[in-house]
Amino acid sequence: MPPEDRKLSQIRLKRMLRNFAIELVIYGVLVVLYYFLALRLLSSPLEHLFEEYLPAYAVISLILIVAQGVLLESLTSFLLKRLGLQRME
Amino acid sequence: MEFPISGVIVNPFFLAGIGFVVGILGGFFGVGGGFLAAPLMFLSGVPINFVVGTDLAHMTGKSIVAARRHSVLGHVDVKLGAIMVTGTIIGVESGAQLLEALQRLGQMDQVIGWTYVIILVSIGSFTLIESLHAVRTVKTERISAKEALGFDGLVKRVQGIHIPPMLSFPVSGIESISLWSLLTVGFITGCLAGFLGVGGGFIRMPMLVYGLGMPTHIAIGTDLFEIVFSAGFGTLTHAVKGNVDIFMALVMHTGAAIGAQIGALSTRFFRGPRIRLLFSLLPFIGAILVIIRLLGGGSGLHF
Repeated sequence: MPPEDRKLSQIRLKRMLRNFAIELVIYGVLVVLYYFLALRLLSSPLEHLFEEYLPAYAVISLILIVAQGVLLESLTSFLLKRLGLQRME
Repeated sequence: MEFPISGVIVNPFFLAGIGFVVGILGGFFGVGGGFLAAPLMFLSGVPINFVVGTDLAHMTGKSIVAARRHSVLGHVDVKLGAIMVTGTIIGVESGAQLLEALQRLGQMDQVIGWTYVIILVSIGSFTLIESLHAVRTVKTERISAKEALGFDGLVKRVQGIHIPPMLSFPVSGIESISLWSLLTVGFITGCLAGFLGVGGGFIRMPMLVYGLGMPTHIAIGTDLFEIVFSAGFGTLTHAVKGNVDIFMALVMHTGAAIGAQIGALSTRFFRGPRIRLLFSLLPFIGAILVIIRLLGGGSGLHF
């Protein structure tokens, strides 16, 4: 690989790693906020449902994990796109 | 932090960390990661009956993220995955019933545990030999990594079965294959998974490559797509039995989501044979963990 191309490749790699680190930090902050503002509020109602009516708890559990899956996938994709990480080659 | 449903106190960052590592593995290899997550959860004090169910719940969410990422990369054959998942779910239930029937006969835990070790070592050895051959073939014969499969005997037999209806899957590059072959492969992998009490990702992913002839990247994405449904089904059945701490699963999943994205995107930097070569290490790691449990007097599986 010519020296100029190697240098460009190293610069791109450093930029990519930097953007990755930024994404992790932003994601970490958002997740901690999400935990304190949303997840903790669910703890008591879920415990109550678990003790009172398991079939409903089972359905709600599945809905919650699917919903969080969709939500976090959208969030991480958004961050990847904003930081240009989707164009990694 | 206390998790009132399972009644344990665990550091949530530790749980998110487990999810993160398992997420990377899942996104990169197309496996559920239960072989790693389950022992770690157990070691952090989660009661045994909550380990499997809670892990399945977190696996469902993680696989949604990873499958979606692989779908964007063009790695998911939805049509094939949807057909196979039917066979897989029937297989899982059959395998679980067979396990219960055998356990009622007597002390089968050690037998099943050592059977699992043999299966894991076989899968790991086969994948290792095949992928080394494929890597060499790509270099010496200058063929594309997609075409390099070190062993295609089983693919030819499976695709050679002409029992209608015959289907084609352009995404996977499969021109013609019997519906019954697909359902049978799904049933066999599901049965093994249900019998051994595992997610089955590192049985199913190699079966998709060596049994159906799917390119590795598409096998990973399609396997993750299937895991969404099989793990979701498992979550429901375990939750009804009171074996899922969904709050714990949601916390684990916060780490798994970003790990799965990283793992899935990383597949772009590796060709099929190299991914299979790295994948071949996982069954050996799983076998070592099971052996440690067996030698400690446990069953090695159903923590």
